[in-house]
Amino acid sequence: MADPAELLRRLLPDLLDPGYARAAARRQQSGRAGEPAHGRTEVLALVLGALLVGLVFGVAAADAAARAPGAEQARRGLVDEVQDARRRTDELSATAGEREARLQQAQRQALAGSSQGAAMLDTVRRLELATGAVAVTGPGLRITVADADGERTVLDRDLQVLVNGVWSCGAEAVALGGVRLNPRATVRQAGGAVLVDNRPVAQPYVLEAIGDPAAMHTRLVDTEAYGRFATFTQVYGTRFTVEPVRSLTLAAGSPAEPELAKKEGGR
Amino acid sequence: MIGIVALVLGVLLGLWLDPAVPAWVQPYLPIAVVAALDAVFGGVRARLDGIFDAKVFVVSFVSNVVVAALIVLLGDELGVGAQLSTAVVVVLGIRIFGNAAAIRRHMFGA
Repeated sequence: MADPAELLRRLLPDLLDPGYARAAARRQQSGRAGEPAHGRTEVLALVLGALLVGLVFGVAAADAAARAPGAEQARRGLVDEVQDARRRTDELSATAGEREARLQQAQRQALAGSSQGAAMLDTVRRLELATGAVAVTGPGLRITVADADGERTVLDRDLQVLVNGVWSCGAEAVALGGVRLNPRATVRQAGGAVLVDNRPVAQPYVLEAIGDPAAMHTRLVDTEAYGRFATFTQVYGTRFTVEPVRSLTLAAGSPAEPELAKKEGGR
Repeated sequence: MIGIVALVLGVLLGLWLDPAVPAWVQPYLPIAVVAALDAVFGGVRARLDGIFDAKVFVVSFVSNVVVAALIVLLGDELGVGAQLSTAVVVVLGIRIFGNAAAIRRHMFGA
């Protein structure tokens, strides 16, 4: 067997079917040199062959034309469905916001009257704040984390440590990448993307925490998270900045569905 | 000339008949089209070279289609149908390009 380069070289110039040359040589030998003969069988074969080739083209074209509209229709249908679903989501979230406001108003009316009611209202406020059910505004810290160019050093577990560290420093409300964190929110990785409460978050990761900026900053420096990211900065060139902000606004998150523990059976 | 007329007739016939292509043939249709294109360009070039032979034309077309389809069928069975389809298209594509260039040289002298 020849070496592969030789095979490739032989593949390239050999463009015309050698059969033509051989047939011509045969004709020359049998004395019918020059222009090909136009015998009956020749013409018949030519017509048959050309017809066959044309048929292949025609059938393929018809088939492609028949199939394209189906695929296009399916695509358009899916796009319509997606747009419909999006519109419904917008409508529903608008309705939900409106009802939320009405609910809060009703709560206030019902409870504000008595001292017992006021205490309950206070509890509700605190719980709403803790579960991330309402938007909050206040002073706090903004922590920015970003990988150095081309590196991939910050993983989900680093961000988890950072989030836990911020909570432990007395943060009242935390949002990561614009997603408000409730107590059961998750930070995890799926492939290259970091998902915060199942929503993808891109670099740089911006963590905003509401609380007393000075006190939080002082305590944060002592946490494991701060040490970890300080090391990252030194070793990998990771960007890690902590800055106090006078007024942060964190949007309301999606609080976890309340679940009620029930006693099993009659035991 | 009569070949071109037959070719156009075949195209019109295929479009007009619009036969329902069975699902198992559909993967081989593009391969057949490329093989047919190869046969057509090869035939035209042979004609311009003055060595056209109708029998060679028909046999080369039919055998090209059959062999290409068999290669792709074998690839499908082995799970590399897409790669072998690519291989067939590349080989026939090189031939089509080369023959088209030869035809161009014949017709325009460049």
